[in-house]
Amino acid sequence: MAFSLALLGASTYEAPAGSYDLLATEILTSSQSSITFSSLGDYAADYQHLQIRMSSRDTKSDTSANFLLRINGVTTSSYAHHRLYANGGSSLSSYASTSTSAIIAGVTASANAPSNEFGTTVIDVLDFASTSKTTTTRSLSGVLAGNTYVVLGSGLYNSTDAVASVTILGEHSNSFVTGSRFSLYGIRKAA
Amino acid sequence: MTVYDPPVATYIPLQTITLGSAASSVTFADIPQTYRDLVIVMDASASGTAGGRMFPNNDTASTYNTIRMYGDGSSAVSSTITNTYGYIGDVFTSKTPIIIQLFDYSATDKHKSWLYRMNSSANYVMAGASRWPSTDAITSLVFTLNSGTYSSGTTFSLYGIEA
Repeated sequence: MAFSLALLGASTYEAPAGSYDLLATEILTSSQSSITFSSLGDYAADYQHLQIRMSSRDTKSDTSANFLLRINGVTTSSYAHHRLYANGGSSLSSYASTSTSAIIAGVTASANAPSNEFGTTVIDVLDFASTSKTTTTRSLSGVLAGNTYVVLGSGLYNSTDAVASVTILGEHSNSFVTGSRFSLYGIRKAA
Repeated sequence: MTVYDPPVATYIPLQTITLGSAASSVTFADIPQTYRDLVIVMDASASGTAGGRMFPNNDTASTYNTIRMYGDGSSAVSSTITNTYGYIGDVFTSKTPIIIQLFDYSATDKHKSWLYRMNSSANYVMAGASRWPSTDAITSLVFTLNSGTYSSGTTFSLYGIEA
């Protein structure tokens, strides 16, 4: 049942035209070692959170690989991540690590995966414009290849700097191949 | 890279189906090809505990792959499924929300993969990924169960996401 505050004499809330907006997309037409969404400060006034949706395949000589996420191009800071994952064994596994260069953000299909197979991932970057919170991410990622994984992850960029850029890059310098797609979305702030 | 200025409003509601009576099958037909990804939000319950299935283009012949992980409070399990159906999580007699992220459904150069999250407060929580090994664009989605029916009141909502 629709509930109208106007009937009670209160002002009505007008939702913004878009609550979830497409900001940028990169679809690779040749192999590329990294993809950077930059000038994110331009979105700080309108958006609370960012989401990255990607389907990817890289050049690693395997069926799947990890990929990384770097904030503001920083390679001298403190990153951390935790993941809960399954690979088809009977029990789950967990993993945690720290790094000075990037978060391990998810899994991608790789060169030895079946043709046309791409890994899929959704990453949320929460409160990206905040200067009072460290930056946290969460992700769900999967690949159905020779090495089959589903990964539920969280990441930390241990800095209160606002997020001005996000770079996605292959682990161990692997490149993403043609057809890989990376899309950035903004989730609007409340009015 | 294409930067959209102004940004493009997306996550567009395309259709919601609310079951007025129990049904063994639900179909989104004639899905527009103007989006890149689809999101399906299900607020489901079933006549008994059953495996939820999704068939792009009603393909019941191809071999699908699934990886899943779930925990019920006493054990945490990982398993794979290789069969002629696309798995989306289990559905119970109690409320079972499922959210499916279906990537590149309109692309003709990729196999179709989806991520899903299933929650049942009375049973377990699950996350998984599934793949339909076809480069065909998806024009319809058929939802079934391995046994029984979706209960009256179950909702299926379909959203389109541009990229």
